[in-house]
Amino acid sequence: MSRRPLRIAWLGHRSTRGADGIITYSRETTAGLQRRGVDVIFFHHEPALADDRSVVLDALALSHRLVISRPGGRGRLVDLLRAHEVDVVHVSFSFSSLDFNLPKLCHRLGIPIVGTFHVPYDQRVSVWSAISSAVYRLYAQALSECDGVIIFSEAQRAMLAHLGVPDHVIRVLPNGVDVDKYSPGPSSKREEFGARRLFTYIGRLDPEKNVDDLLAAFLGGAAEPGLKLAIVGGGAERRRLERRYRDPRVIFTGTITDEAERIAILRASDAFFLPSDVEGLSLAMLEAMACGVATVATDVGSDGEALRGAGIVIDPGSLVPELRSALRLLVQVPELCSVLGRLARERVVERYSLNHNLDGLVALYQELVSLAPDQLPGRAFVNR
Amino acid sequence: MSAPDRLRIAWLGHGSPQLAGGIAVYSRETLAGLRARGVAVTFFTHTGKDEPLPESMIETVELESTPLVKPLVFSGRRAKRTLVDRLRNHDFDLVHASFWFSSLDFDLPKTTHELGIPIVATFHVAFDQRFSVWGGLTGATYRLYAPILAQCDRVIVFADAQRTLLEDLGVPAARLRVLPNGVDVERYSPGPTDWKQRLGAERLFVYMGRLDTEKNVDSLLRAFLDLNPAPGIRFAVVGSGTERRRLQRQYRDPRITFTGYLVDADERIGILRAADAFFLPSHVEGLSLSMLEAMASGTATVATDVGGDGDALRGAGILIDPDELVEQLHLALRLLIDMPELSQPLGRLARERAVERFSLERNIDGLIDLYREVLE
Repeated sequence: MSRRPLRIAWLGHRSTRGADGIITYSRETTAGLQRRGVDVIFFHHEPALADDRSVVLDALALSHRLVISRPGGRGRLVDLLRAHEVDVVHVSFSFSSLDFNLPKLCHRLGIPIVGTFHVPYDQRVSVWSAISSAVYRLYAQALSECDGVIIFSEAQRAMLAHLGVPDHVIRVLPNGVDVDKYSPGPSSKREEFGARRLFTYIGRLDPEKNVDDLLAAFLGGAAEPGLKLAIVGGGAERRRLERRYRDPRVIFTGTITDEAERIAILRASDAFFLPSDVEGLSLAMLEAMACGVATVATDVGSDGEALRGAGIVIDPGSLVPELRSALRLLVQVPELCSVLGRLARERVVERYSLNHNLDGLVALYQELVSLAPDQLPGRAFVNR
Repeated sequence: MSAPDRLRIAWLGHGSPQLAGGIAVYSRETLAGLRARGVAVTFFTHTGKDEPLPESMIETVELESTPLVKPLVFSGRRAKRTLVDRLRNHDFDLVHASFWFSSLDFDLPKTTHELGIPIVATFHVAFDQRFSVWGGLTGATYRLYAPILAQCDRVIVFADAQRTLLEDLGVPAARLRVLPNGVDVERYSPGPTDWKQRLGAERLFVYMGRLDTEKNVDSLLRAFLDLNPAPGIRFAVVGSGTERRRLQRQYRDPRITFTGYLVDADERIGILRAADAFFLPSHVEGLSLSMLEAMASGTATVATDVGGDGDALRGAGILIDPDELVEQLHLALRLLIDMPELSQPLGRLARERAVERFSLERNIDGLIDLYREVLE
């Protein structure tokens, strides 16, 4: 008997402006699933990016991370899921104000639901840890009701287990990078930037990213002719940073939506820096690593776990001195960049490739589809 | 070699590495190098009660002395008379003093000039240009010595920063010569060793040097244990000094071995060859000979940016800002523990640097050129 292909309703984010990790995750994962013959219907909130394989849900998007669903949105979603005869619902949390009702809704329809929980976290005692643990607490019930919960790391698993999310629904499936696309290779970006050597930051320019400290440390100690620092991304801090660190050695490119362009910058980079206070598992970091760029990142979220042994992991508790030290080392000993770049690439190919991630995902879908609706693990929690 | 060509040098320096550390090694190595080139050297040193001088140190004159604070030595009137008699009765072309030597230092240029013998000085004293307690102490020593150095015919220093410092204190620029310490890079070289087995180490980190407070071995060992390294990662602390007993008590841990001072150079070379990384977290240094030896042995090197060490290691190892010592030491240790792959390229860079700039051959060539220049 030939069964029709697996059909997934993917509830995630699309955006016309920029790309941060949560958007890239949806784009790359759905594209990968489609390549494997999975039928994906993308539910999102961006009318400008409607196409024949996607459904735009009417909502008030305050930002792509904060979406208020319109009245009637829930009913419409139920109708759509029914009409499309989807086998599995996969939601990339945080999706919208519907998040907390979604599992119940799916169980009523008898459709298994998988949730990917992207929310950054910080285990140290700090403002960020207070905020991130509040978000974890807020989501604990909804996650318990899911039939599969996808997270990035073992540390995150421990945190969720602590909040009562049953361990058997949790799958540690780190973000995946397309390691063929993101790979070392030629690039003309150095000439374009007038740089003999190039250090790079790619990501949002928001206060918790600590780009300020990176720039101060770079300009304070890394004065080597021909060495430039490219800051790729936009955000709340951009104008302030640009004003404050006006210097020929620093290049603010703004947000670059063209992926090929970002890959070209990474390929030209000698080192990549991610000095954040909070992260989930940074996709920008994994992409840099896949391109064979020596990587320096703080030990927050799952980034430390991903980078340890394959790059320079910085203790966020002594961010500034360690950042200065790492910068100085890579400026003074350029030979280390190639060693660290090789280690970084190996690590991503081994553990964080998109294929690795998709294998796990498809296996999970198949397992859930094979279960009768009343056997779905999340159901027990809905009825409780 | 015919007699008129043969240089005859009176060398004043420390003989006991246990007492004086690198400064004594400098005398030993340089003397051996000069003698190998056919220079006749008579070694004037202090009577060392705790350690006999090696047999290789023939033509040695021992001067009676009283050690004050290591390596400061008080020489009495009798020592001075012995020295003057010897200098007068032997036909020396030149006196070379490795400062600081003793209380004789202060009228040494005057004494030799009265005898009509030119004098060359090597000024080893560690320095620290930052504002700190050590900066204050070393600054005072430099000020104290500057007038004596100004009377010498040539003054050998080991780093550009040191030259600038002395110029500012009035030593004529034309008499200052940067001639870094040299290492026997044939002897100190990568090679086989059984020290890892001897210490039960899968990976081995090493400190080698005096155990005195300014060396910050305390911070180093604390950072090492803070990271809770796997049992196979060992730290060997080679050397002795005022801090040894305290450190040994405080850091009693199966991963840390205190070997004490190793008299036999082959033992020291063996440990350096086995080491995956060498650490020198001092607050003050001149140009550390033990660091150069580790580098020549192909060991990845981590050192504070003080004295001449910064210039020597920059670009060939991991330099640490002494103002952020603890944090940066943590990072360096973490890097080397987490990524064993870094030891090999860093070791190769260190070896290349030592061979290129700090070989004993180079140093001896420079020294002989300098003697000839003075004598012309």
